[in-house]
Amino acid sequence: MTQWAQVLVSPAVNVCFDYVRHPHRLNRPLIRLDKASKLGDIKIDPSDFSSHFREASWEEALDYASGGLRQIRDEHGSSAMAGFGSAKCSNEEAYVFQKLVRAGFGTNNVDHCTRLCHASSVAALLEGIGSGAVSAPFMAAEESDCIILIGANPTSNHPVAATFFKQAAKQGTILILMDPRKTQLQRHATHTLQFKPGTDVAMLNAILHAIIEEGLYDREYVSQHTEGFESLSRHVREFSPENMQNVCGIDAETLRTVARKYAASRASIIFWGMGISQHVHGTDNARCLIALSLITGQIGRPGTGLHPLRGQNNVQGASDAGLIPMMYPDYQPVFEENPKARFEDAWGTSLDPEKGLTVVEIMRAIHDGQIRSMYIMGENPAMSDPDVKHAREALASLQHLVVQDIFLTETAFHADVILPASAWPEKDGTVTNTNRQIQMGRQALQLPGEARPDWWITTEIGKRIGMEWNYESPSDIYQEMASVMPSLNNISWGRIENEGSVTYPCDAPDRPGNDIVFEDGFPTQNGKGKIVPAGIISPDELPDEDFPMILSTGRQLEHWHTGAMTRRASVLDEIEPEAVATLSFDTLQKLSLEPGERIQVSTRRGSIELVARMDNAVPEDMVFVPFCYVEAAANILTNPALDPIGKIPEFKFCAARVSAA
Amino acid sequence: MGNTIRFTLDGKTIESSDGETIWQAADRVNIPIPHLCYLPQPDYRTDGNCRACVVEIEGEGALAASCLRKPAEGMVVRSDSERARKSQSLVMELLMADQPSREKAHERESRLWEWAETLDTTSSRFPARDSIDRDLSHPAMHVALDACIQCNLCVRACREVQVNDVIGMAHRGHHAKIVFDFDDPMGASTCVACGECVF
Amino acid sequence: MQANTIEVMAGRFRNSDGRKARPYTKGRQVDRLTKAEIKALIGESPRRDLLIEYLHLIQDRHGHLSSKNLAALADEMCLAQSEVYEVATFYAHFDVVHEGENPPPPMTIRVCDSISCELANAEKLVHDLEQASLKDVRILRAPCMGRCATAPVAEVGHNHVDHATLKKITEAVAGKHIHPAIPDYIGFDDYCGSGGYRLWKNCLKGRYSPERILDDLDTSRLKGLGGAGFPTGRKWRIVGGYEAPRLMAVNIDEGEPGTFKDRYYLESDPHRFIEGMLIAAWVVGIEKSYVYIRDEYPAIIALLKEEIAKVQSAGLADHLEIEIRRGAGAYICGEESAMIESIEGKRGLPRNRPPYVAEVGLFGRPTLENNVETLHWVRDIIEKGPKWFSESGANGCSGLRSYSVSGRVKEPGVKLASAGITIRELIEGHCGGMLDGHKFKSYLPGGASGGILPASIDNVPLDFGTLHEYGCFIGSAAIVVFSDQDNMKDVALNLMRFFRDESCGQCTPCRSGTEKAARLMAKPEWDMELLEDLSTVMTDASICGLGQAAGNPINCVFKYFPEDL
Repeated sequence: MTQWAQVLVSPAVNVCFDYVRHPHRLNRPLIRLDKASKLGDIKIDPSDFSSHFREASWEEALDYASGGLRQIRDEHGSSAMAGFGSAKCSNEEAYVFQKLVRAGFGTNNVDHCTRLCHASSVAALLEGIGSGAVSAPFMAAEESDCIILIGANPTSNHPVAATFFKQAAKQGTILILMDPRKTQLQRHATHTLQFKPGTDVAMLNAILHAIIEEGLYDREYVSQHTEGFESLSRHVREFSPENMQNVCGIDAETLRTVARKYAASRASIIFWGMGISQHVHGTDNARCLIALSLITGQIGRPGTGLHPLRGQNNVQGASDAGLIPMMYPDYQPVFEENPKARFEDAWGTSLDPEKGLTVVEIMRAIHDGQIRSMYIMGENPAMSDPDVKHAREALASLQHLVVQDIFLTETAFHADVILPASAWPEKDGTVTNTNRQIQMGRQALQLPGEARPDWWITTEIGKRIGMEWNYESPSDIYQEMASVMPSLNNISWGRIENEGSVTYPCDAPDRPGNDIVFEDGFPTQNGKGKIVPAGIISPDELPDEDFPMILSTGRQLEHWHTGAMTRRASVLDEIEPEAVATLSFDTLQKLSLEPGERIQVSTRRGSIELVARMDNAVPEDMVFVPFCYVEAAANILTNPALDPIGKIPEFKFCAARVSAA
Repeated sequence: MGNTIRFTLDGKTIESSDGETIWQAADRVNIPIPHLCYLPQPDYRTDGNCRACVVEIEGEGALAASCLRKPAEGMVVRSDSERARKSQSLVMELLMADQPSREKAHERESRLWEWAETLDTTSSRFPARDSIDRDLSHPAMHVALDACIQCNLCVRACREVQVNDVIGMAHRGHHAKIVFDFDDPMGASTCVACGECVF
Repeated sequence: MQANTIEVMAGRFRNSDGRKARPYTKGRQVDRLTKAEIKALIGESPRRDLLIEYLHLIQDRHGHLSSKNLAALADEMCLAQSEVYEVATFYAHFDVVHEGENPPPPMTIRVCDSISCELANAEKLVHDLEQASLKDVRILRAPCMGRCATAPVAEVGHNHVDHATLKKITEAVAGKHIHPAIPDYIGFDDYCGSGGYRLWKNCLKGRYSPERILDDLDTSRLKGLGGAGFPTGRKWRIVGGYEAPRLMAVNIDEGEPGTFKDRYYLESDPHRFIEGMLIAAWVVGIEKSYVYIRDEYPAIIALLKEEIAKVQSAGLADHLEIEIRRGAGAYICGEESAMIESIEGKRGLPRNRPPYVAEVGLFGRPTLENNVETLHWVRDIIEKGPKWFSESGANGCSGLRSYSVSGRVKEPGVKLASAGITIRELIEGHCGGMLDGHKFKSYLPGGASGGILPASIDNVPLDFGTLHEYGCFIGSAAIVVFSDQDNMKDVALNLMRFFRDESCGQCTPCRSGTEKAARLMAKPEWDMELLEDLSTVMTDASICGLGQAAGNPINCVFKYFPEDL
C-alpha cells in the first residue's frame, strides 16, 4: 500500500520543482536598511530589494538576528517573545524550532499554520479520543464499505487521496459527500449532500439523531469503549432530521438514508477537510464526526476510522514535534506538572508553565504591545492570517523580526533580518505524512548561493542566545526527539533510512508500524472515547443587507497555501496566472456580471479586486476566493473570529458584497 | 490460486502458476517478447491492442497476444517462430510508418524505438498517414499525437489508475484519436496535469 | 508513455506579464436549463448501459449532438465527458457538433457505396445528387444497408429508397418522406392462427423438456447462421452449463456487405424468431434478452417493438425480460463481443478471447448470443422434426441455407436452398441466370469477408468449412455475383475501403493495416510484397474476424485474378 501511495503524485509536487531555481530565490542573508519603513502596503520588487535591504555575511546576520532576540527577551521577559514554525519544514527542524522558543525564549508562544487548518479538529480529537493523529490512513478507503467525506475537496487539495476515494467508489464502496460546494468527486458519489453553508452541526446532529432513534448504534461498543452517550442521546433528541431539513437544506429521508448506510455498513470511515475545521464551530463540527464514529463503533478496525485531511506536507510531523502552544512534542500538555518536569529534565532548563498563544492571538498580543519580537521560520502570516491588514500592521510594529525563508515573502518584507533557508529537495530530514508514515527525505539538489538548511540556522541562533547545542546533523536532532517522544519507540533514524518510511506507533524494531490504531480503546485517562454533544453556533458573521453574500476561501489545485512557492513555479503559475473569484452562473446573472469581468469583493474588513470566474460548483449567493494571490489577498476579507476551543479563524464563512470593479 | 502447470515456450519447458500470462512467464525466464501497449506495472490493466507481443500457439489458427493469454498444461508456444516474428515485426513496421523520423522523434529512447531497433524495423516500407499537429495549449505538457500508436496506455493511466477521467479514445478505425474531454485543447480541458500519462 | 506523446516541459520559465485568468472554470460548465432538458428527455435514474439509446434520443430530437447537450448528458449520467464523447464519435449515425460549428442540414441522404450498390452505379448516383445541389440536405456515403437485391439503395432520413434514382430521391426529399415504410408481415394474430406459439405453450406446459429440444437441435445439425457456424445445440448447452444469472443477446446486426436474409425474415415473419428466442431462453435458463438491431433497419426496430409488446401482453414472455437495443451505424457491432460492448453502452470494440462470451459476456455474465435466423428455424426444427432440417442439404452437406444473392443475376434476393449447393445451381436454379449481356466471372461466397472465387471454382458445395482450402468461407452466405464487366482489383479496393471504414481501430494490424492496404490498393500498380505482408499480419495478428478476414480480397486477387492487376 505504501508503494502505491508513492506511485501516485500530486500536481503540486509533480511538475513544479522549478520554484527552487526561481530568480527570486534568496541566496544571501539580508539586513534591513535603517531608513526603510515597514509601514504601508508592501511595494517591493522581489528581484531588487536594495530599497529596503542590504546583503550581509552569515556571521553578521546571525549575530544581528540573535542579538535582537536576546536583548528583548532579557529586557522585556519571555512573554514578549514568540515564534512561528512551519509545516513545510522537516520534523527535526520543527522540533529544534519549538525547543528554541521554549527553552531559549522561555515561552510557549510557538505555533504554526495547522492552527489555521485543523486546530479545531485536533482539539476535538484530543478531547474525544486522546490523540490528534488520524486513526487510519487514507488507503483505508480501499477496505471500507462506506466513506463519508465532508468539508473537503480532495480532487483539488488532496489529489492522491482523491484517487483512492474514486477507486474505492468504482469498486462499489458507498461514497457520501457533504459539502456546500459541489466537488468533482460528485460523479463518483452515492449520495451528495450540498448542505447550506455553516449548518454542519445541524446536519450531523440530525444524522446522530436518526442513528440513535432507529437503534442503529453499536450498544456493545458504546458501553465498552465510550462515555457520554446518554448526554448525546438527550442532546440530539430535538435535532430530528425532520426538524433539521429546512435548517441544513437536506431532506429528512436523505439524512436518514445516510445515517443508516454509515451505521450499518461493515466498515465506515470519515474523512474531513477544512470545510469542517475553519469555522467558529469547527471544534463542534469535529465533535459530531467523532460522536458518529464512536456510537457506531466505526473506529479501530480495518476500513473504519477518523481522518482529517491535512493541508501541507508535514502538518502531522510539525504537530507531533511540538509546534503547538499548549503541547510539548507528542502532545504532552505544557500545563501539566509531569510532562513539564520531564522536558525540563531532558532540556536542562526550567520551562514556562502557561499555555502559549496561538497564531491569531499572537498577532493581537503584538497589537496590545505584549509581544515585541518574533522569529518566523517558513511561515507567511502576512498572507495566511485572517484579516491580513491587521496582521501586517502587527508585523510592522514588532521591534525585532527575524524571518527565515526561501523567498522574500510578504512577511519577510517586514523583517529586520532575513535568513536564506532551504527548500525541501535541498536537505536531509524526516517528515510525517497524514497517514502517520515517517518518511526519509534526502537531499536531491544543491543549496543555491549561501542558503542554509533550516535546522542549521535555528541551531546557530540557539547557540547565540545561550543554548549549549551541538547538533551536527538532522540525525543528531532525531536521536534526541526519539528519546523524548514515545511515539517514536522502535523507530530509529537508521531504520527510516533503510526502509524509507515507517508508520508509528510501532511495536518492535523489526515489525511494521500499526496502520490502524485504537483497536482496543483510546489513549485517554480511562481508555474510553469521550462523546461530546455539540450545540448550534451560527457563523460569526451572517449575511445582511449591506453584505448579502457568503465569502468562503480555500485552495486551488495548482497553488499551495499562500502561493509563495507554487506561484514561483512557472508552469503552475501559467495555469493560474491571475487572481480569481469563483461564482455560479446564477449568481453572476443575478449580479449582472460576466465571466472574466473584474469584480470587487468587499467585507467589513476591506476589499479586493479580481477576476470573476464562472463555476457552477459554487452554491448560489456564495463567492469563493483562493488565498494564494498577493495582489488580491483573500485574507484582507476574512473574519478573524476564532473557534473558542481550537482558536481557528472562520475562513469558510463571512458576509460579503460583490460588485463590478 | 492456479495450480502449477508446464508448457513449452520456444522449446523450453516452463513451469507457471498463479494465473501468470505467457509474457510474464517469458519475462521471468528472460525470453524477451516485444510489448508496447502492455506496461508491466501495478494497476495497469492489460489490453492486448498493439499486437506486438503475439505468439504462435500450436493448434490455434490466429496468433495470440502473450500479454493476455495464460498458458495451459502442455501448451506449445513459440514467440520466435517465423510466423510469430513476422507479425511482431510487421506490427512494428506499421507503427513506424506513421512515426516522425528518428531524428525528429520526441523521445528517441522510448520503448517503441528500442523495440524497433531490436526487431530491426526502425524504418518502414508502408505509406505514412496524414500529418497531425501538436497540441501546445498546456504550459506543462504538450501532446504530440504524430507519435501516437493508439495503445491507450494514457487512457488507462488517466481513467483507471488516477481516475481523473479526462483522456479518452474517440472516433474509430484509423481515425481513432486520443482526446481530452470533447477533443479539447489539453490546456482548456479538465486535465489536472497529474502526469500519470507521461510516465 | 509509450511513444512519448505527452511530454513534460521541465524548467521552462515564462514571464507572467499580460497573461489572463480563464473566465470559466476548466472543463465545460453545464447550465441548468440544458440539464433539465436532458433529464426530461432521458428520464430519472439514467443507466450507464443505455448511453447509446440516450444519444439517439438527443440526435433524433436535435438532428445532432451538441457539446452542450453531451456535457449535460455526461453530468446527468455521472460519466466523464471523455466517456460520452468517445462513444458518440465511434458510431456513424451520431453527429457531434462542437461549440462554434454548424449543425448538419436538417435532412440527410445516405447512399450505399458497398459492393452490390457500386455494381449498380452508386458512384454515379452520388455524383448526380451532389450536382443536384438540394437545399438543406447533406449527402453521405454509407456502408451496406442490407438491400442489395434492390441496388442501388439510398436512405432519405430513415426512408429507404430501393433501385434509387435521382428522381426518386428528390421526390422523397420534396415530399419529406423520411420515415421508414413498415412492410407487410405476418402479425401476431395471423401467426397464432396458423399454429404459432403452440410449440412454446407446450414447452411451458411441460410437454417438451429442455433436454428434448437440445437433442433435436443436435440432431438437426443447426449451426449459427450469423456466419460462424457453431453448432447451436452445443452452444446452448455450454451457456446453460455456466452459473446463473445468464443473459442473451440476439444479433440483428447483419452488416456484411451482400447480406440481407435477416431483414427478409424479420420483415415477413418476425414471430417465428420471437418464438425461437423464447424457447432458447427457456431451455438455457436466461433471465433477460437484449435484441440488438442495426440502425439501418428502422422498420424492424418499429415492428419488433410492437410485436414483442403483443407477445408480452399475451402473457407469453413472462419468464423473460426483453430489451430492444438500437445500433448506431457500426458494422463491427455484428461481431459478437463488440455487440456486447455496444449493448453495455460503450464503443464496439471486440474483446480478446478467451474468455468467450458464453462464459463471460454481457455485464460479465454467461451470455447466449444467437443470430436471428438461427432462432428463426427453431420452431420448424422441433415441429417438423430435426431430420427435416438435417436432411435438406445437398452435395454431402446438411441443412438449409438462406443465400442472400445480389450482383449480376437476373433475380437477386434471399434464396432458401439446400446447404451445399454450388454457385452454378444457385445462379441457374434460383436466380434466373446471369443478367443479359453478362458472363459469369467470379463471386463472393461470403460477403466482403469471405474472399473472392473465380467462376472456374463453380462446383464446390457452398457451406461452412468447404471453402477453406480455397482461402475463402461462406459466413452469412452473402453471394455477390460478378461478370466479365467487373474488374476484381476494383472490387477488392471497394471491399478494403469498407474494412478500413468499419475497423474499430483497436488493434494495430487492422487499424493501420486496412488503412495502408487501401492506400496501396488505390495505386495503379499493386506492390505484391507489401500487400501480401499486410494480409499476413492482418490475418495472423488481428483481435477479431474483421481484421483476420480483411486480407482475403488481396489474397484472392493475387491468386485467382492476376490478369485484372
